[in-house]
Amino acid sequence: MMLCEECPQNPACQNCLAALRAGAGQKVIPARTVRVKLDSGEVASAELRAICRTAIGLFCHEQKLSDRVEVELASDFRIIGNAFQGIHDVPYYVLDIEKVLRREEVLGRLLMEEFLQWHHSAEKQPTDMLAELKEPEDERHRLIKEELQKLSILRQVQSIYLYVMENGDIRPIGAQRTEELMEGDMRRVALEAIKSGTSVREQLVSSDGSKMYEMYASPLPDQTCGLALIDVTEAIAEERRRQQKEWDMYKQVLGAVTQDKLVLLTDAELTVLAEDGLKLATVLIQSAEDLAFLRTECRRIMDALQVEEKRKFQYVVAVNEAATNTLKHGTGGTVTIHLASAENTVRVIVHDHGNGILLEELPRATLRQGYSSKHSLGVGFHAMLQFCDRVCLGTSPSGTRLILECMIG
Amino acid sequence: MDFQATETNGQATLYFAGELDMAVGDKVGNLLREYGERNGSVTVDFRDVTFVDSSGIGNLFFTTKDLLALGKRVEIINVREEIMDILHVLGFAEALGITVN
Repeated sequence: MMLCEECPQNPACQNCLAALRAGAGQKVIPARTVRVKLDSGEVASAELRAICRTAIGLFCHEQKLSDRVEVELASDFRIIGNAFQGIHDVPYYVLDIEKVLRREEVLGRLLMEEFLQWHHSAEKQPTDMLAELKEPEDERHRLIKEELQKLSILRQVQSIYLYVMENGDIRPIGAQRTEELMEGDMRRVALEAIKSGTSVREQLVSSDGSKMYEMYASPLPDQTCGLALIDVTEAIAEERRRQQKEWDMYKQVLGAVTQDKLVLLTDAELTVLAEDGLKLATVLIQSAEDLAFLRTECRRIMDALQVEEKRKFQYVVAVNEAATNTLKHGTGGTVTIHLASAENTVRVIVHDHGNGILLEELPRATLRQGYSSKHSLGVGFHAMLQFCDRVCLGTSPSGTRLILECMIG
Repeated sequence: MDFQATETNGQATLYFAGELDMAVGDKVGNLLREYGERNGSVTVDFRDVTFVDSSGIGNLFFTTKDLLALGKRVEIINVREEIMDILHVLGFAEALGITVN
């Protein structure tokens, strides 16, 4: 039975799996260090050694596991269940799964595919990564490790490069090192950390621009400085993909709900439209008094284009609403009136330099009808959608651009 | 925005002329409140109102709502067709349940 102490190095041993008392289990190779929280509130470290859909096997020297136990594989991956000793005389425990908390979901079973995906992904514990380093430098190593554990981003990273700066020299701890060109930046940040006596964090880009790093410098008591360079390239790329997906979804929903009258555009797309055709007028909106002049300019241009009276009136209302919003939600903006090149379309571009509209706020900001509060943006937006042929919207932290189109043909 | 008012036996008539936008919205709302609070009934004459937007009319909306809650009667009359279209799109009369004609 003591063979389990050797697990998983002994591939022939099946004791940990047998103790789960369920079929289709498998060993976790390499065993993963997990955090175990007991009902009493005590916390221990354990090794996750075997899994199946209904139970998991834990090797734990630090605590006797019994009753209700919560096992944290990652901050967003936890397993809760009842634990009991799985093999006599060995600190190997079986946890019958009660529920699995994975991201936003709560499940009654462990999904093997989900687990394996997590297990084979880069979601390593920082301590695991550090354990791979040979000859850790004792106290320094421990201090850097402590600092690293504060960073939640570590759960998504691919690689961590550890360095220490001593007497102005930067040298790696362990075998892994990143490109030498970055060492100048490392030295600068390390000196800053030593001088200030506190940890310093900075983002760095590799010389060819292909890699992004989160650099973390932590001064150590002996006037040296521990540095961790965390490769966050993939984590950032993944976040960008997620944001793009979310943006596409909002674009589709807003288009569908407004019969494609409201179009969400990227900055580049808006710029193409904004530069198209002939610019006829520019009006700066800095106070409510400027709105009357904007309306006059709009009417003058629409009259010259012989736009029918009712159409002109309603379009001026829409333009006025967009310009008013720059004052309501910011400090004003710029309105330019264009005649589009080949589409018989008047195009008014309203640009403010506010903080932009958050993506999740867009439906409420643009689709709400009627008065709901004194600060409602929706009521004016509803008028724009009613009185224009198309409204294009782009928003970013540097401001919001609205393009209001009116067909005059 | 020009303004005139008459008051007879608890009935006030407010007459506005010009463009009702963000620049004058506060003023219009304050006038309606002032006359509404000291009369039982207020008629707002829109015959010479040539433009409205959501901000300008917004002050009128919230003041009217307050007056209705106090049991006052508010009516808007002589609204031009094009202005009526705007009020309709903004959901002005529907939300207040008042007569606009």
